[in-house]
This record gives sequence, C-alpha cells and structure tokens, in this order.
Amino acid sequence: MAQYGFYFDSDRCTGCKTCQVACKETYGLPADTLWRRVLNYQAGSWKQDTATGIYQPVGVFAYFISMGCNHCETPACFGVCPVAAIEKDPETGIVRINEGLCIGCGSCKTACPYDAPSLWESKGIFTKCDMCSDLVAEGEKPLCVTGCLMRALDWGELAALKAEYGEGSVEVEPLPKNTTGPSLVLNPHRKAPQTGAGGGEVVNLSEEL
Amino acid sequence: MEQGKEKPRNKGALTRRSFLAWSALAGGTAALAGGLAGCNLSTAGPSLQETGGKAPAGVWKTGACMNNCSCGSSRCLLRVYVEDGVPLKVRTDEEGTESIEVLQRRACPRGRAQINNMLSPARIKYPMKRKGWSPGNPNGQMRGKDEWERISWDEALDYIAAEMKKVIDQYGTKGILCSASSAIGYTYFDQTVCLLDALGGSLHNEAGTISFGSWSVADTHMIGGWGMMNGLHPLCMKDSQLHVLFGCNWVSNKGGNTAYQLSWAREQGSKVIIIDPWLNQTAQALADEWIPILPGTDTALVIGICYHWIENNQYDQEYLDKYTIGFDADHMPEGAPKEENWKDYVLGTYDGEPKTPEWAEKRCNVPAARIRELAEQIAAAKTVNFAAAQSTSKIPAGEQFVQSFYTMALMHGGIGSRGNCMGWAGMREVGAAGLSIGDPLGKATHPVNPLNPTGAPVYMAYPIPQWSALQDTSAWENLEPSECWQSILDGEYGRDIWPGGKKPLDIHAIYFGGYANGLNALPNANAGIKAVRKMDFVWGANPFFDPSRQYCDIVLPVAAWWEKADVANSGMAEVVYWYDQIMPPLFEARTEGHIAEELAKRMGVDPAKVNTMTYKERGFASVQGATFTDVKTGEKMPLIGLTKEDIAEFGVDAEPQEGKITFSELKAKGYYKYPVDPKSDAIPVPYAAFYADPVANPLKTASGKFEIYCAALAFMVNSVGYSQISPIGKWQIGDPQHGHGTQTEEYPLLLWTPHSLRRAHTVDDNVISLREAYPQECFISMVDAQARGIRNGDLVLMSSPHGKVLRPAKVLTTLVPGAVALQDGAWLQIDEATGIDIGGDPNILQAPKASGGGSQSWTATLVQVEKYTGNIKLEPDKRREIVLPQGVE
Repeated sequence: MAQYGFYFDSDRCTGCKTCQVACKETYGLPADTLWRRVLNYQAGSWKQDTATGIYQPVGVFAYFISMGCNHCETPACFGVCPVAAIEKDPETGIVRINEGLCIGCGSCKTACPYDAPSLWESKGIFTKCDMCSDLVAEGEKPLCVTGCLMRALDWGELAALKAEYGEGSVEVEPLPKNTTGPSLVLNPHRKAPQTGAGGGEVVNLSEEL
Repeated sequence: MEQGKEKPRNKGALTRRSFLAWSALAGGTAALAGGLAGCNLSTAGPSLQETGGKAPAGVWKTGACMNNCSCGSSRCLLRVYVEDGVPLKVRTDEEGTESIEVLQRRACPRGRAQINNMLSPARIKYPMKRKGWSPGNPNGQMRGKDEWERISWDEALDYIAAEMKKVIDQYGTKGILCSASSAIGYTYFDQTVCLLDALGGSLHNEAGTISFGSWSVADTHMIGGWGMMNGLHPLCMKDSQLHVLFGCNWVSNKGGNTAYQLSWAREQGSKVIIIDPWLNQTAQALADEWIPILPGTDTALVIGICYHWIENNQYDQEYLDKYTIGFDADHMPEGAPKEENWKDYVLGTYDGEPKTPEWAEKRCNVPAARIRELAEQIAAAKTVNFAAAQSTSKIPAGEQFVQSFYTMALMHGGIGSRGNCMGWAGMREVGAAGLSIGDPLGKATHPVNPLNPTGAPVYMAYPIPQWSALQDTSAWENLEPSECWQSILDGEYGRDIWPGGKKPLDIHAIYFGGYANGLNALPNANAGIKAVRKMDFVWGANPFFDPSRQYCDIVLPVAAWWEKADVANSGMAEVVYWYDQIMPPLFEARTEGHIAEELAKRMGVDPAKVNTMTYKERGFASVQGATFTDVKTGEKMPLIGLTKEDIAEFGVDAEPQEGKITFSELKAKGYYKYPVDPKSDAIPVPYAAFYADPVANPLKTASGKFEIYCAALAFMVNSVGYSQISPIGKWQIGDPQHGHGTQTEEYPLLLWTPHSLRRAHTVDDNVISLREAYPQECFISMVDAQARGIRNGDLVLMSSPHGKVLRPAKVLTTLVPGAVALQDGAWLQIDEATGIDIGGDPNILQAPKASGGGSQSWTATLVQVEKYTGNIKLEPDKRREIVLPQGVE
C-alpha cells in the first residue's frame, strides 16, 4: 500500500496557472469546473508619510498556492457522501469520485477543507483531480507537474517526497488547520504566515475560483 | 512520455465526431450550434468504452506556437495529439531528465490552450459581407453593429478588388491604410501587403516601435546597437550579485523558462530587486526586495541614485573615463557645451537644482532614504545586471529614461565584464549556442513599397523618419501608430517642423490583415472606430473575428498556423522547431498567399510577384537554410540533413545535404536543441571585446564609446519632433497632460498596461480557460479603492478623456497608491447605448501621444476610476459571450 502525493513549492510559484490550464484543457473541463486552482494570498497595508504625503508599504507581500485534491489520509469527503460515491484506492491512496454514483449533492465540497470537489454543471455531478490516474498507471507524472514552468510541482510516493523535500508545512495562510492528513508536501513561501496568524486575504475574484 | 502508446481518455474541446461533422461542413452548422458557437467547450473525447477498448490511430505532431508572446525570449514545444486530422490534446516538452543547461521547453497556459484557440467559435468560417454595405453605399456608421451575410470566395474577392480599384483610381494607393505588418517576420507575413506594395504602396501605421518603446533610437546612437540582444545568458545570470529589474514581470512578459532561470540564479546566490508599481507575479516569487514606484517616473529614481553616488564618490570614474563620453566636463565630445555634462546636471551646478534623492522622491514617490539605501546596495555589489522592461520608456520623451538608465549602469561600471550588464532584455541567449533557421520569407524578392523605399532608414526594423538620411523626404510616408486614427480624422499627420511641414493624409479604405489587430491594439481606439466608420471601404483577413474584423465590410477567413505550418521555426539560438500542419484549413479558410494571388489576378498584377514562393518552398527554405554554428570554432554548417526523398516530399529541386540532425528525426521529435556547454565560463559576455580594448574594438556610436552625452540621439529625436530631448538623460514632464505631476482632479490616477498570460498581445483573448484564469481586471491599490468605496470584485468605470471601460476591480495591497493597471490586449466590445467598452481594451483610454523617435505614451496615462452605478450587467469574462457575426450561421 502506497500513498501518492504532491509536492508544491510556494516560494517559487509565479502564479502562471499553467497547472490549472493544462489540466482543464486536457480533461475538457467547462468554465467553472476546476480540478486545480491557484490562490493568490496578499497581506499588508500602506501608511502615508504626513510630511511628504508619500505612501509606503507596511508588511506587504503576496504569494501563490496551487492546489488540487490532496488525496488525504482521512478524506473529509469520504464519510459525508450519502451514496458512497467516493473511494480511496488502497494501492495508491488516490481519492476518486465515482461519477456513475454521484448525485451532485455537494456534501463533499462542503466537507473538503481544500475546496477540491468542483461541480460539473452540465453533468450534474461533482468531479475532481484524480492525480491523472491513467498517466500515473503508465509510469508518468500528473500533467500539472510535468507542465509547471517553475518546476515548483512534483509528485511521487509521499514518503519519498518528504525524504527529498523535507516535511514542509500545510498549515500556512490561507489554508486551514490540518485535519485530514493531506498528501501534500508544501514548501511555504518565505513570508507565509501560519494558518490563523495572517491578516491577509485571498485576492482572486470569485470567478477565478 | 512514450508517444504512440496513447490510450484514449477525455481529451478536450470537441468530440472527434462533432469535429469531423464540423470541418467537413456536412451538417456542420448544426454541429457548430450545438458545440462551438454556444461556447460550450465541455464535450469530452471518446472514452475507452466508446472505442471498444481499441487504441485509436492517433499521432503526435508538433504544433506551432507562433504568437508574439515574448519578444523572442522564449519559444515552447507544443506536442499535439491528432486523430483523423482532429487535434485532441496538447502536451509539452516532457522528455528526459532536464538540466539547467538544456531545459525542457515547457509551454505556458497560452500554449496549453491552443486547441481551444484554433477551434474557437471566434474563427471566421467563410467570406462574409456586412448586410448594410453595398458598393455604392458603404453605410459606414453601421460598421461594428451591422448583421452579416455569407458570400462566396469569388464574390468577396471581386468586391475587394473592385473597391481597391475604385479608391486607387480616385486617390491613388495612398488612399489605402494597410494595417498589417510589413517588417516583423514570417509570423505576421501577409502577401496582401506585397500586393499593395506592387500596386504602388499604401500607407502603413508602422512609423514607430510599438514593441520596443524608446529603446530603438536610443540604443542605436548611445550604445551602438540593439540592446535587447545584449542580455546575460541564462547560465551567466548567477554571475551577477545583484539584479536590478525595472518592471520585468518575466513570467508574463517573456514566459517559457525565463522566470525559472532567474529563480535558478537566485538559488545560486544572486539577489533580485524589482522596481515596479506592482509587486508583480515574478516579484512575488523571486524578488528579495520590491521598490514600489509610480508608473513613468523611473528617470527620477535613477537620477536620485546617481546623485547619491556622486555625493559619496561611489561610482567608477576610471570606467567612465575609459569607456564613455559626456559624464563630466573633462570628457565631453568636441563641440558640445562643457556645462551640458551629466555630473553637473545631476549636481545642479548650472541650473541651481541639485537632483538629490529628496528631489527625486517628489517625482517618483520613492522616499529619499530608500533611494539612498538602494544606491548603497547597488554600489556595494561588484557585479550588477541592470534591466528595464520596455514599458519604462513608453512615456513622452522616453529616450530620456533610457539615457539615464544606461548612464546609471555605466557609472556603476564593469559593463563588458562578467556579471555586469545593462539592457532591456535582462537575459538573452548570447553566445552559448548558434542555431538559426533558413528564411521562409524571401524578402529580397518582394515588391518594394515606394513610400518606404529600400535603403530608407529603419530603427530595429521599424521605419522612423530620419530626415537627414532620406533622399526624398516628400516621398516617404508612414503613420506613427498612436496618432494614426486621429491623423486620419484630421486629414494630416506629422509635425510642422518636418521638411515641408505636416503631411496631408486622405485615407478612404482600410485593410486589417497580417495578424495585426490594429483597431484594438493602437492607442485611442474610439478615434479608430470613428475613422473606420468614415471610410468608403474596410476589409479584413484573419483566422479570428476579432475587433478589427468586426468593423469591416468584408472579411475573409484565413487558415491559422496549425492549418498551414510545415515550416521550421526558431527565434532563439538554442532550439529549432519543426511545426507540422496539424489539420486542414477549417471551414472555408484559405492562406494569405492564395488570397493575395487571387486579388492580384483581379487587379492585373502577376500573382507570382506578390507571392514569390509556394508554401512548400517556404517550408523547404526554412529547413535547407537552417544552420548550426559551433560556438567554440565559429564553424557554421547545415543543421538539418536532407535526403533525396525529403526533397521530393517538398517538391523542389535541390541537392541533398548532411546536417546535425536528419529531417526525419527533426520531424518526429519536433525540435533540435543545442547542446550547451555546461562550463558557463566559456560563454562570452556582452561588450567583452570593447571592454578588453575599446580602441581596437570601438562601439558603433559616433565616438566609438558609450555616449552618456549623445548628440546624434538628441538630433534625431528632436528632428522627428514628437519630443524635445537633451543629449543627456534629463528628467522632464514630456507632455503637459501625461504622467506624474500632471494629474487633475478629474483624472488623478496613472494607468499602465502590463502583459497578461491570458493573451499574447491580442491573440488568445477568445479562449475560455484563459479568460477564467485571468479575468481582465482593473488593478487598483487598496488606498485608492478605499477612498472610492470600491471592494474587490466591484464593477468599476475607468475613464480618460478618450473613452470609458467597465471592468471588475482587483483591489491590491501589492500596488502603489496613485497607479492603476489594465492589462494589454483585451478585445474591445462597445456597448452602443453608452459608448462604454465592456471588453476592457486599455487603448480605449490611451491617448494619441507620439513620443521621442517614434514611440507611444502607453505608460502613466491619466485616468479616473469610480464605482460603477449604471445599468450594464457584466458577466464574468469566462461566461461573457464571444462576439460572433450576427445574421449568419
């Protein structure tokens, strides 16, 4: 039994969204359905110098977090599905929504701390990242990883990723406290505050997410 | 990736079935209505079950990604999976284990979304005529509003030929504005330009470098050549202790590997300072420090830095003495007034105004203490890479910024030695590799436009009126792009000081072709619409029904690159691609060559004179002439080996040749990469020869040195007359209604227009996934937003004296107060009831302000932003209907 996972280096991500678009385009996702999205978190304020009238930034920084399904150790979506459409593959740890069973109630989306399940409106069901299962089965890496312009994404067995990149931390703004054991090694941006410690916000328009 | 082992799975835009129905036109309109026209791009490809578990007979081809996305700083690999001529998915360079020396050429989101660009509902399907237009009655006010009707190719070509004849008979070929490029290479090549040239030459709107800003004339005279070509090689970026970057959001401006290469240099120990109104995407990830600055005020910052250096003796006098002229009174060129030197200007010796950091602070809003700190940091670094994006110079009298910027770098010294560099590229493959393709254009065989004859001066490919070098100043004609529309309305263009004064202008027809989207892409677009509506005739040819084509009387569908290609392409020294034809031309699309030939026949011109090579011959020339240069020995050899069979396939007559790679290998793989020597020490440094011996290896400037005082530059710019500049890089407010210091209560904010990854200029703006990833937003600072009661996502009205744009606000902590941004290239879409552009084209707001030697004032335009209270409901871009021709299927 393995657990596959993603590595993401937020300290290097430029928010180009190649991961998001490559995924969408390859799997033919319609507008509003996203299996991977890129959050832009910003913080800080501006202070006006009373003598000169010039504004200067106070604690201004911003960074990006690319996020798909984290194929959690204990997926929050798993238990809440009323039709048991969500399965976690015992061989790979990949969490899938069985599209044939899904009734589109959205319980999984509500439960997921990472907002991973995404409504496919015309099909009336929730869908999400399956770690490019078909490619992975053939020994390839997921498309978001092989497409990343900054080489900020990687994929592999979670233990191996941790050995290569360290533990990282998934508890940085704007992500929630770790309650589900996400299979994600996240190298936070050098300025990222811990979860709950930030005074910033996600600046993406709702139509982006 | 093992290609050919591909298993069917969900693949994207279209089902194979619906595509076949569509492209064959067998009931194609029905397939379209259900599939493409409604922008419902969600249909999945065949599943394993649908194909009965059988592997489909798909092939991987290499698709062109020929957009002008990066000024040649990157070119990426698109591998396209094609079944029965239907492109179903895009992959990129995923081969092998990469190294920093030989990187994969991974495509950006625009490349990844090319299927939905090529198969977009915005494709023009067949020749169309505007319903309200007829040969005797143009009914021009209906342009952009009218319905359309489908006509045959013959009808369309007959109409166009007849209308061209009519205009030429009455007004000459100068009665036609050709809004298509004549100068910038195969990507934009349109043989109809050749036809117009053969007919006697029409007016172009190319007298100025939209792309390069004020760098071209300044580079030519001040540093003796094209500064863009002189960036550091990516592997040498680590040799700079410090990168001082003005703007430079490389992930969007250059794309490809460029931001990754900067990241790599940083990981090797380089420090990155980014000076930009916006903590841009690249800066968020890679800047060690960000200096917020008002748009268009970089000159003041630079001068403040130089003052601090002079005050504290922190510059390299020895370097200046040896390699430059004009720094101080002792090093002025002969004939120049001694007091006009840089040092005395900065110190304020003669004008009584010391340009201290405190002086600079008032002009650029960077606090004096911060300027001094920055000056100290730069002075302390032994090796510095100075780079400034083109937009820094796209201001009135923008050469003055270029001059001051280069002067700053020269004062730091070391230019020509390892790790020290100055320019507007910041990074460029120089010297480590030597690949190039053959010429598919055959430019030497093209007819010459008598209005811009061979030998007439050009600055970095663009014609700019250098009166002193023109044999016949009255014969030379070309419109500066930003003033083009207003000039047409005014019936004259130029400046009173031109030989003979302003030139009369009498345009009666416009051609929108050559992949240019002139109505959308040039400043003062509302005046453009007005001018277009006054014409007797307007026609266009393009793959896409973009705004320029929407305002035509007749439009022709052109085959996109994926439908013709079969050509080698490059643009950089480290990789050459082979672009396959991916699919046959969609619907009734035809090539530009065919169109020009058909029009030529109708105009009594020999078709062979306007389309001088077949597409097969062009493809062959690109392959046959491709070269590999061994950078160690300088030895040049053919890159691509050709067998008799290869040559026969092209249908040309030629001798086989040996190469570094066979043509069949190149075709199968899609690319050839230069094996760069990992010992980067061997990579030459820009200006190294000059640095080693400035006497033996002079620069191509008047003095042979870097000209801090550059009389030739000032003479040239001042003779064009758009701006008046000094031979040294002085601060000036170059226009009384533009830039910081000229804001009014009505227009208190400074607009600039950074690039977006949603588009390459205006190309790709029709793609849903890109629209979703990058909504066209009004970037506004939290300070200015709060003052106006604007919250993130609120609809805001942006206005200038030239027009109004409606967009959602993005309220940023990462933007300097006083500045707003609207990213370039969005397709305009005018709400006819209010005149407001709901598409978000910044050129609706931009002013007709020609600058310097032939640049435009895109940066620091005066605007206002208010919370929108009107009645227009704006859908998110990803759901807003793409404008389709009304009245036709």
